Amino acid sequence: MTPLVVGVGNRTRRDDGVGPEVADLVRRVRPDLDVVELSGDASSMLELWSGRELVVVVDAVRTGAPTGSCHRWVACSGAWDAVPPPSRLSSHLVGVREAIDLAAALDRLPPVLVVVGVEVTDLGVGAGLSGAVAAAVDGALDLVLESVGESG
Amino acid sequence: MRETQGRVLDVAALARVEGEGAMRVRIDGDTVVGVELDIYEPPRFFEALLRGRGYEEPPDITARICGICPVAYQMSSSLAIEQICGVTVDGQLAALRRLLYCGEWIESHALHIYLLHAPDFLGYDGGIAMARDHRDVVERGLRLKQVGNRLMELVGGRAVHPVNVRVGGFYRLPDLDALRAMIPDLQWACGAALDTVSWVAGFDIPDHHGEWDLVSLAGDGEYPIMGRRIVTSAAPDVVPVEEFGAHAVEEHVAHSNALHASWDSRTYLVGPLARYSLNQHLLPPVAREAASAAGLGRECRNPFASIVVRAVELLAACTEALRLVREYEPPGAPSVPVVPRAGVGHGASEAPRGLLYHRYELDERGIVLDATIVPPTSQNQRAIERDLWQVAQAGVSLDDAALTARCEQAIRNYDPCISCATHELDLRIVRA
Repeated sequence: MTPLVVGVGNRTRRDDGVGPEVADLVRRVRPDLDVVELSGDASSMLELWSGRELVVVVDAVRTGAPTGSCHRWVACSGAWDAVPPPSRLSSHLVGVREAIDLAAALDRLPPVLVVVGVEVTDLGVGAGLSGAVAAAVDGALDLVLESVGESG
Repeated sequence: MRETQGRVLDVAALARVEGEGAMRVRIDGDTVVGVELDIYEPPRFFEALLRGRGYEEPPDITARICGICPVAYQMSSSLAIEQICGVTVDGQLAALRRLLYCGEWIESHALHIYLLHAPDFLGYDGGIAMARDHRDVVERGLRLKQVGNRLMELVGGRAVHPVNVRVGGFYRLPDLDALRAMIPDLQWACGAALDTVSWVAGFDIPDHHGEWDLVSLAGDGEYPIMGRRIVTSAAPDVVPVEEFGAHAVEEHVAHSNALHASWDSRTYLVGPLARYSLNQHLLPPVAREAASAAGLGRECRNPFASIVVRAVELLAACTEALRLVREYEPPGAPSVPVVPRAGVGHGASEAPRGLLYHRYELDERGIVLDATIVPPTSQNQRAIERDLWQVAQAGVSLDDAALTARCEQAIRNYDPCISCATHELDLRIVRA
């Protein structure tokens, strides 16, 4: 089945919109992929990725790294390649990490799950990314494209 | 950590509340001396953004305010603008709107009951821990939520931020076959929702009596979702939605960025408890019977029992959706024509969390001159604060961890929604 890319975030909360922003670019350069924007409740992801072999989730993160840093976490068959992404990737109603953990508890993770995180700073009300985050969008796009490879 | 005058417990998390904000409970000896709640950001950014935009834009723009209840924003804004333009959307188009709204209620209530609120009653930190021990139950909740998502996809165009809603109706009509193919799922959902009522009715629900007035839309022969009349527990008079602003007054309070609302100068509550208590007789019979079997009376003022009321409303929404799908006959056109004109319009609908009011002023070209949005959580903030005071006082002998958990549960009773904000709630208990 076609890989799925999920851009998580709220475009009206400044840098929180980075996930949807990257999703827009993916849609443009890889129209063969399925791309979804998600704001609010991340538990919807369990249905979105049902039956998918490969899912890439793009979200705003705050790990303490410099703003604009891009991260990638990979879970194969539910096992993370290194330390898992931070537990508070976002605080959407059910956040991304919570949705992933919920899926794991219910044996509903896709075989390969990639989380691409962009380190953000400004989560205030309003549209538009801050400079360092806007500059990181291309790097995040590269990570997504590397993750999906030629599949699809 | 310790302060010089006393102890501060900084929990810094209210993970199962959507949004950003802070709560501080101050206790002196055995007495609660202050509760300050700042959980709501008013949608001023959106009100400003709407000025100068065209009359067809508010449904799409305001849907962005909340990822959980976009349909509520679309419907309240459409109703307000249609009033200005002298348009009435009725018949099957109104039925489709109600169906879409039922999808949102199903999705939102299933999420809150199963993943956010039930863990409080069953002693889990959250839905994930609960899922490990109650897998079948959580799967049932997720499947119910999925039924709501599917309805929103079919009628609204997509599940998150539906794109098919417009002033005057819809851009296109839903696929009839796809809609009818939902009937088995909706039949299952009705049974699952009935099981949900029985399940939550068995929880150990703390006693509590909320002291606030109740405000909701008045049902017009059916349980209220959209309407033009407002009822309250305080007075027998029905208030036209045009007079909302004359009764509901928002004012600044010192400790909060948010506005605190009162209705005729009194603290009031909107949401499931208000809807149920004021319109219980309009529930579908199966939901009314389930409410009675669950031990709910004609009125419910216990916020901790809101999970039961939400389950009854979940059953009502599933039952209503099934009826609407069965009775649906495609109308001749997906929308009625809307010609802009100058004026002021008011729209209100019952978001899952309570009454959502919109007011717009248009010029003769249909340009938005002014917009006011009063969401349910901002209206409830004062009631939640009052409630927390009582809950904290009743539990003052608990240790900080237990008291914090009880206060968090009390906040979740209201399913507060803070516009898809991105920060957690900073909850502090301060003992002097």
